[in-house]
Amino acid sequence: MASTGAQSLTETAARLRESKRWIPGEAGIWAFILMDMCTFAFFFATFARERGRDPEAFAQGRETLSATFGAANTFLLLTASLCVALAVRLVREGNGRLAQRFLLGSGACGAVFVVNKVVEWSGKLSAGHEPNDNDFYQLFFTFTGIHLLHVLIAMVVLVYLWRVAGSVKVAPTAHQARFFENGASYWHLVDLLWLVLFALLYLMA
Amino acid sequence: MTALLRSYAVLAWAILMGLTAISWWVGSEHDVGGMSMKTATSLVLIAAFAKVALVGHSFMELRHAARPLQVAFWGWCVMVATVVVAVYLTG
Repeated sequence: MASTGAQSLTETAARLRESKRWIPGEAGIWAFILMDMCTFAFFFATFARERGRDPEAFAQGRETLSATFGAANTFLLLTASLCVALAVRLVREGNGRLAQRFLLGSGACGAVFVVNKVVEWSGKLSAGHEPNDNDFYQLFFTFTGIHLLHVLIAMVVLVYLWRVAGSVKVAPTAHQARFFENGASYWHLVDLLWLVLFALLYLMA
Repeated sequence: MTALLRSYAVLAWAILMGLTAISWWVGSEHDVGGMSMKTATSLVLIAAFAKVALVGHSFMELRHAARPLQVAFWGWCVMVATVVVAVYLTG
């Protein structure tokens, strides 16, 4: 049974969310997220520009990619994001145990994404396509590589989220809730960046 | 569990998965009702940024967030989508 203290904390948090002045997690994580999005925006524009300069090389490069791989990876990250979003909700409700199960789901999706990426890259490399072949491959490996680093960091973040969820019994403390929201927001960043990369790298005809 | 499954997050996920599947199909150069490749690709790109906006609205809970954050995030979606599609169409 929720103690008065925990219940009023949950209510306060809910009221804050309804106040339209709320920031999920902390301002700092959003400063990072927005900065990262701007960095990638520059990558996206660069890709589009370079593609315009050498359409044949980019079309050929794209032919060597498997849109199926790309789509599968998109489905994985979207599902990982869903699991994280549901875990946030569960943590707020004080259900740390169930939240941990969903986080394991996110971890599984993330792990498969990493494996897919390794398989895809080794396939390219063994077919003789290397980062310095042409602009397409340079950008392909660079952008998916930087994104992969983000995913690996996200997997580490997941461990911390799992631990915090484990210590939530009745309701999260304000600090736990903020930490959890920070980590969750980072996961969604990793997901959203891939949504654009998938379209740019795999789907542009 | 039922409440979870009927949550906005799950609905958003279903829409995102569906849009991904559609984009994947369109991007596989199937003849999409006689649409030109330029149009089809532009739509795929715009859809990608719409998906980002939806991720923000649903998963990232920006629908509840302070106005400046909403403006920054969705402003990014609109601006970057515009730049990328413009570069693509004029390239």
